[in-house]
Order: sequence, then C-alpha cells, then structure tokens
Amino acid sequence: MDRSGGFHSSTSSEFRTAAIIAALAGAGYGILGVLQILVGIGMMNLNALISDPIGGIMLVVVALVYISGVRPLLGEDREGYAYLAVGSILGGILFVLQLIILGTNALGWWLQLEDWREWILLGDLTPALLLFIPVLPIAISMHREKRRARRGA
Amino acid sequence: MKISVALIGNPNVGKSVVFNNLTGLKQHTGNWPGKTVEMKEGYFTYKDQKFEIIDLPGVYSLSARSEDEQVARDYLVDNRPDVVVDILNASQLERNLYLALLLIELQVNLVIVLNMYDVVESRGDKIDIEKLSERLGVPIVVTTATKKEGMDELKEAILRAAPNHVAAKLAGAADATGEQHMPGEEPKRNHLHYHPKLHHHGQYERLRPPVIKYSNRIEKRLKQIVMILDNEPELMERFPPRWLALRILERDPDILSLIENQELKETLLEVTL
Amino acid sequence: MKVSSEILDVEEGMDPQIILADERYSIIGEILCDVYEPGHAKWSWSDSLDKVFLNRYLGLPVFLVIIWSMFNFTFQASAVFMAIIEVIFEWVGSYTSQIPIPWLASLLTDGVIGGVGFILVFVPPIMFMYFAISVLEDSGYLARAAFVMDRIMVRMGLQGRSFIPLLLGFGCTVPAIMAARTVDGDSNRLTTILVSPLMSCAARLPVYVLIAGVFFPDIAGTIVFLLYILGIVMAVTMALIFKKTIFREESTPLLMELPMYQVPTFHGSIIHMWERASLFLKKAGTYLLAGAIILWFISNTGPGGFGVPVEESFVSILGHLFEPIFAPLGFNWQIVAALIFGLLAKEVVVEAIGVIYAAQGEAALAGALAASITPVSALALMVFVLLYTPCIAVIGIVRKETGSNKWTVFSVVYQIVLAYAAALVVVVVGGLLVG
Repeated sequence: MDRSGGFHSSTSSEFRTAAIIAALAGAGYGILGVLQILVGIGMMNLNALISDPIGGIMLVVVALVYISGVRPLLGEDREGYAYLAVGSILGGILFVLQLIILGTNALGWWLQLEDWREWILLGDLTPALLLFIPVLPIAISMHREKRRARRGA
Repeated sequence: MKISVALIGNPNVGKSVVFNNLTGLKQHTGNWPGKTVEMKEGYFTYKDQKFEIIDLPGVYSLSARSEDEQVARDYLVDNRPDVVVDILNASQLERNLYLALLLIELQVNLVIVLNMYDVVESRGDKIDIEKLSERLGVPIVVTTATKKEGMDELKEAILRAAPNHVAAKLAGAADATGEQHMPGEEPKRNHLHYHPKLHHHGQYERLRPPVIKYSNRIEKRLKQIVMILDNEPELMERFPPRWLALRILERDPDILSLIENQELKETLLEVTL
Repeated sequence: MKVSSEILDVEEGMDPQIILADERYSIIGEILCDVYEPGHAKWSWSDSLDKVFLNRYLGLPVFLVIIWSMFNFTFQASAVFMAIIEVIFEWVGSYTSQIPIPWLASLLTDGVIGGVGFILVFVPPIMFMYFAISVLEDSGYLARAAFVMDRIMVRMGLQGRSFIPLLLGFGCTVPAIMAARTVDGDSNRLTTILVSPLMSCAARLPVYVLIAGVFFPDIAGTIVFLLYILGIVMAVTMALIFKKTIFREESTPLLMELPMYQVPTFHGSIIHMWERASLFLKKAGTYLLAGAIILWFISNTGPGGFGVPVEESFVSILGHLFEPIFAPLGFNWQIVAALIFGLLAKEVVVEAIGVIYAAQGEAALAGALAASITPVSALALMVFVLLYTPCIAVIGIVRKETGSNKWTVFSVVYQIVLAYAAALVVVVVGGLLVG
C-alpha cells in the first residue's frame, strides 16, 4: 500500500516545523520548570502561589524529553517524532492530573468543606496546566496522524 | 474419552484469549504482574468430540529454570497431552519460534497458531504459511483471537492432529487396550506410538524423523548419546530419546540427576560440544 | 527481544545451552528467510516510543514523572472525597453518641465509627491508586518500567526479573511474594521474598495519608511519593546487601516481552478499581470491624474493670511496656500500641490511633496527634510503618514460600530492626536540621 499521509511522508519542512515545536515546548517547560523549582526552594520570590519544587523537576524532565527530540528531527530522523510524542504524553499526564486536582478542589470549595474554604482557582493554575494548552492542538493532530497511519497501512 | 489439549506459548501472545474463545468460560490467566501463575482447565466440544484443554503458563523456553517453565515442561513430559497447541505472536515470529522448536524437539503432537495476525497484515508483512508449515512439519492455523477469527479452523486442526489411536478409540472402532503394547512387543497394527510408556525405544525416531535437524556437529553427538543410553531402558522409555539426548548435551541438571549409574553419567558427560 | 546487554558478555567456556540456542536461532533465521517478507511500514509507533521510554538516560526520569503523577493523583485528587466521607461519619457519630445506653454509644461511636468508619475514609485513595496502577498496566507502560529498572538493578549486580514482583508490592505484598516464583535461582528468589515487603503496599497508604495530612498538609503528595521511593531504595539496598553477604551471586539475562502500547480503557480500569475497593470493603466489614471492637474493648478495660479511662486500660499497659524502646524516636504510648497492633495489618495502625484517641474523623484527630508528637517524629513514624513487617498474612506467605521457619523469623526481625534504625536516622538527622 502507498505510504499515504502520516509521518511516513514527512518532508524536510515538516521535520523543521516539528523541530521548532519541540524546541519551543522544551524551552517553555524548561524555563517554567526551573522557575518553579527556584520559587519552591525559596531562592526566588515571585509572589507565586505555587510552591512545589518537585513538580518543577517533573516539568524539567518533560523539557528534556522535548529537547532530546530536536536533534533527530533536524537530522530528518522519524524517531524524533517519538520524543515529541512522549514529551506530549508526559505533559498531557501532568496536565490531566492538575485538571483533576483543580476539579476536586473546586468540588471541595463548592461543598464548603473545612480545608477548602480558602481555596482559590489561581492557586491551581500551575505551569503544568498552562503549558500544555498550546501543546494540546499539536498533540491532537499527532494523535490523528497516528490513527490515519494505522488505518492507511 | 476426551482428547486432551495443552495450550502453550510465550507470555503476552493472547493465549488466554484463545483459551477463553475455545472454552467459552470466563477466565483470567497469565503470568504477568497482577495475575497468578496457574494452570486453567476448560472443555469444549467440536464435531461431537469432547476436548479437555489445559492452559499452561506463558514461557519463553522449557529449560525448567523458573517455576513457570518447570510447570509447563513437567506437564508436557509427564502427561503427554494428545495435542499441544503452541500459540505464537505472528508479529514476533523470530522470538516465538524458539519455543516451537523446543516443542518439536519434545516430539509432541503440535499445532502452531499464528495469533495476532491482524498486526502482521496491518504492517504489510507477508508470511508464507504453507512453506512455514512444511519447514517445521507442523500444521499451522492463522488466528486473530481478539476478533475471534480462526477459531473453528483451530478446532479442526486440533481434531486432525489428535493421534490416530485416540481418534479410533473415540470412534469406538477398536478395543483401546488392544492398540497398546509393551516395549519390545511387535505392534499388531501400524499405529502411532505417541505415549512414552507404550513404545519400544527408538520408535520415536521411526515414527517421527526429526523435521528439524541441527548441524552435523550436534547431530553426531546426539547419536552418540542415544547409543550410550541404550543401556538405560528406563530413561529411554520415559522420554523421547532425541529430546533426552539434547537435554544431556545441554547438561540439564534435572535430567542428569535421573541417571543413577555414575559410570554411565561420566561416559555421557564426555560427549561435549 | 530486549536483553539487558550488560549480562550478555558470554563467558568463553562455551556453555552448551548457548551453543544450542544459537543453533536454534540460526535455524529460525533460515526458515524466516524463506517464508517471511517484511512489509514497507517498518516504522511503528510502538517501537519508536520505546526508544524514548527505554532511553538509557531519559528512561528513569520519565519513569519518575509517571510514578510521581500517580501518587499525586492518588493523594490530592482523592482528598476531597475523603473529606466528604469523613463529614458523613461525623454526622452519623453525632447521632450514635446520643444513644442513651452509654456502653453502646461508646462502642458505636468510638469503636465502630472511630475505627472502621475512620478506615473507610481511606477507600478513595486506595481506589485511585488501583485505578492508576491499572491504567499503567493496561497501557503497556508497567512492563517498560520494569525494564527501565532492570537496567539499573543489573548494573548493581542484581537480577532484574525481581523488579516485577517488587512492582506488584505497590499493591499488596502477598501477591508480590507469590510472584517471586518467576525469579530464577533460589537465592535470587529468596532475596526477592525478603525485600518485597519493603515496597510500600496500599494498606500502608492510610497511615501516610493520615500522618502526612496532619503534619505536612502542603506537601503531602510529595512526602508520600518520597516514602515510596525510599521503599524502593531500601528494597534494592537490602537486596544488594543480602547478595553480598548471605548469598552468592548468580545472574541470568532478563528476557522480557514488552506488550504493545494501548490506550487503556476507562471501563477496564474502573472494573479493576472496583474489584480492589470491594475487597477492601469486605475486609473493613469483617476483620477490621472485629479488630475495632476488640480494640475498643481492651482500650476501655483494664485491671480496674470495664469502663476505665484509656490511660488505665490494657492498651495503655501494652503501650507503656514498649514505650521506652521507642522513646528515642519520640513516639508516645498511643502510637507504640498502634504500631504493635499494626503487626496484624497496616490498616489497624490507623484504626487503633482512631480508637485510642477516640476521635471521629480526621479533623478531631489532627489536633490530638499534632499535640502529641513532633513533625520529625511523625516522619520517623511513617518511615517505621513503611519498613516494618506489613501484616500477618505476609508472615504466613513468607513461611509458605520459603518453607523455612528460620527465614520467616529472619524476615520479620530484620524488617523491624531496619525500620527502627531508619526511623532513628530520620530523628537524628531531622533533629540536627531543625536544630
């Protein structure tokens, strides 16, 4: 069967776009991750509501995965897409996790349970949540490509 | 009487799905984390013939190093099921065929199932089933157990692979015991000597010339070992001689410990690769 | 097939098994040459994802991200449901305490609700945990996690196959010890049996959730995560020590099939979660209920008869008897008594704390607990609970699987000693840091 669609037929420009996305996502996760660590261990004070240094380390790991994909993508190696995918999977896991936490916190607030009375939405809008939003459309398009590739084959 | 069938295969080849498809019983087996290492038993009927089916643990080899391998090997060697069905992940043929070769060494009535065939097709790979069957000397059935494809073909293959005398016995054609004879006796009719206790040694070779031969270097030594083993009729009756020779060549501790005659053991150990 | 390359440095002695295996593979190769024609779509997602998930450098960090997410999900997302259950029991308790028959009111309020009701608060984190494990297993990642860990364990001279039972230990130690059967070699198997209980099982989670929630509410998820990591580190360290001292080494390559990646089904994970939750509920309704009533009885009975204050009860006597031993760790007699009952099952620790403090729900207990021990001791308590003998069922299964009283006693003793030593280290180091 013809290798129609999907990453089987990636052109150079598509590889370059993917490499740029990986680099941008890596930079975003990396910078905010390091910031979150610094704030978390008290080396920086940004008046931020989030104090979770280990969560910051997780963001840095996501950044590392993305950045590891840049070189193979620039070398037009299809394996680079796997880094993009795994980065997005991890980012997605952290995103969904934060979304669930936000949702359950909101439930506690709505029920006016004791520990939730002082909860505010802002405190749960962590980098893990915000960073994934721009990645989301890319992740969705990758998922579609994957499906199409599977069906096409 | 039921035809006894054993299911075997590497872990994660969909063996328990095949098992469930065949028996229709809801069961969960496998030796993956979270699931216990157990043998499951089930029954099914095909063309008015009853089958009793045992699900052996998923193994990569039969070296008896782990508990799983021990269970599987002991069952095959001691119980000699009428038919052994080896389930292969068709998309990982190279790795999965290893166990198939070990089963061929064991001279069981083998049926090979190429499961997960949809993966092979979706990858665009091509497998010449007929040629593979010919090379291995084993009937092959292609299935996709998750979609329940190929199950009737599998049942048919199992029925056909069942040894003649079992089938005959089932048909009520002859007195079952009349078909068996003690070692050394001349058989009354031409029939398959599939049970290790009911044949005279050397018969294994005659009834099943090895389809898969190893290099001369190894084959020569196997013959040597079989000749030495002529002095040990007990072992020769209990196990297929070729398989026994292979195990001795491999220095299988379980088998070596069965040889009580120290002198013989030393002679055997002199045969080395 | 993925074979840990580190142990494939085949020795020169030409093992006949290897020669024959080579022979078989070369025959397979020949046959495949004849019958097999690879298609064009060679590039598969599953293979290329493995390049990242099993990457030499990234594999471990990625594993940590996933496990950390799992614990945060378990702890943080379930917190609100725990609070809801707590409120319900407080409400029920406010009625049972009104019962005019004092002993019945006390039994129901302090014994049954204080004990079992309190334990039921921990159903949500347990359900969430099993949901997460089930998702990981169904997606095919769990097998990769074992593979990632294998590489590290092999480098440390351990057999990688042990990691699969150890991973199971996150759920329950009993199946973990049974799964040690898949480990090759007697000494490897014994090592795995001995260290499996150090992996933090689900029953220990309520203790962490309670203590971390009271003393470290802001970083509770992280604390629990670190405890699990400590469990892994201790298991690996002890395995290494056993290997170097008691057993001689033997190692075989880890041959492990990696299942294909799949999107886990919500349905399947829910079923798995419910199975586990119903098991837990059954346990709560039977053993734990009986335990709570007995605990309530002996904490209300003393040499002076029935109805004495808890300070004069048998529980207090028991707690005080062993208190001096735990004094360096800063545990009071209530905690000591709870830990002793915890030998039966780890849920009992929380149950006993609930009954002894006669508190309904976490909120009332929090104050009492916070007043009685320091945060450093609280940390030491969690470490102690992590490392000491999980439950009576584990002792039974160790006996059954090793077939030896000697090893069973050794297993129990070494774990208690290890737990004590580790808790002491926490107290000393923590004391220095806090000043």
